Amino acid sequence: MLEKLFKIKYIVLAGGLLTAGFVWAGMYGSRLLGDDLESVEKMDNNSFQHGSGRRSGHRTGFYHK
Amino acid sequence: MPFNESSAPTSFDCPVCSTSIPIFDPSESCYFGCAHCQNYFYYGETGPIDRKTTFSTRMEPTPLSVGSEGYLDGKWVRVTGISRKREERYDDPWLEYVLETKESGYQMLSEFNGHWMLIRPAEGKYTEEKGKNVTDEDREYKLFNRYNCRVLNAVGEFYWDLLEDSKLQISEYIHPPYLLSREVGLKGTEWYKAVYKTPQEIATAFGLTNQLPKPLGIGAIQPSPAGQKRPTVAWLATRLALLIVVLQVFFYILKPQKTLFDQSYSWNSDSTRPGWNQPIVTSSFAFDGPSAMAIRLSANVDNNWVELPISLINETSGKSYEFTRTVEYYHGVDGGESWEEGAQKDEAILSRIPSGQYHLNLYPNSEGKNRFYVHVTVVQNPILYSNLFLMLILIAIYPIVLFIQQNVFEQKRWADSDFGP
Repeated sequence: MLEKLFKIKYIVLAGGLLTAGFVWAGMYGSRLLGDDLESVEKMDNNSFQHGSGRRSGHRTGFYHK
Repeated sequence: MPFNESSAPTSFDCPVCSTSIPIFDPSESCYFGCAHCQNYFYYGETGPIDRKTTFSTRMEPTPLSVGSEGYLDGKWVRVTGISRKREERYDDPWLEYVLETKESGYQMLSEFNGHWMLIRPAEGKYTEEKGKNVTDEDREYKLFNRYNCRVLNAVGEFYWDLLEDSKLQISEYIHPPYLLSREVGLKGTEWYKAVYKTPQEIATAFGLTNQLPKPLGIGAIQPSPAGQKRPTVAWLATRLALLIVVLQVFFYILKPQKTLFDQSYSWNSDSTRPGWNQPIVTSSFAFDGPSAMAIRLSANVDNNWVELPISLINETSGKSYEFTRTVEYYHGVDGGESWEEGAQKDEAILSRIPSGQYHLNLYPNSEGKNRFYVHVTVVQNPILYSNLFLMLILIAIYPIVLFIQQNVFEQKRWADSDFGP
């Protein structure tokens, strides 16, 4: 089997890289396809105080009946 | 020149043109073709020369010549005769080289459109099943071609009367890279087994310095490159898929899901009063990262929607992670049939959120005057199913590509057959 696998060594390498990517994503909790996060912003000292958040979300295009 | 006389033990002069014709196997050979005058004749041990025919065309230069020696599958062989044939129905010719061997009698090399096959007499008995297939102890062969042939030309020596070949009905059954050939003649039925050879194998076997012509189209028993790779790739893909699933279970055990926050809020909306909507601010929770965070939302919307721009605030670093979800749910009856669209819940998953103390700010807005209950749940280490499915899809892509390539290859192969599946 090793001889046969050697004939497709680049596929074996690609499979190894995929597996490594999956392990990395699993360890760090990373989504490999898409992210719901829209932006990361650094807030000033007061704005992140509990209960004083300002609206900083983005309105998305929205369709409704 | 089709002759290489250097290694011939003896020779005789053509009775028509007096050209010297080498003899490599005087004990077996009794039919000869002259490369110079195109005459084909019988030369008995004691009897007179009997001219059988004169071919109308001259033998064009061939990659191998009579007398060429080489090693096929590690065994010594020598070309003693070359014939050019075609099917009765078609004009495309092929070449057959008679090979003398030391151990196993005569073999044949056949070349058609740059595709080569080595043919040996087959031992054992074969019978056709279902009118199309033949099975031996190893594999099943499918009927690929059935024809009568015409001999166009022949040079060198032959141990049988080549002209009798035109009386044979030949059936070819394939299981690439193997072929079974059944020849039915007046003297009975004979079976031959062939195996595909690449031009490189032939060139190496006979020590040819010139490149042999590249194969045209797809040979009857040419192995599919994709088909050759497929079993190994499928083996690898199934093992990788299994490993991915095992790793997912491992992550589930190593980093279990944990609910950090779970609370409901009531909220009044009035879109007729701009700026009236009040934000919802949750209590803070500790998060152990870096890891994924799932924010699950549900709202009692009914034929309505609520848009939820949300800020996840890291109280230590001051970083704000912004995202928006929309919960919408509509239902009704239309034309006597009930329908529904959307759901009263939604979820956002954020990647690689670092450790820290966090809280959420929600800025709901909706249409009209409503009172909603919004339920918020924050989960650490949610199972990232999208990663699992993405990996399984990526792993499956190459085997699927090979499957398609092999099928296209086989379709092209069988396009040349009258007996395609």
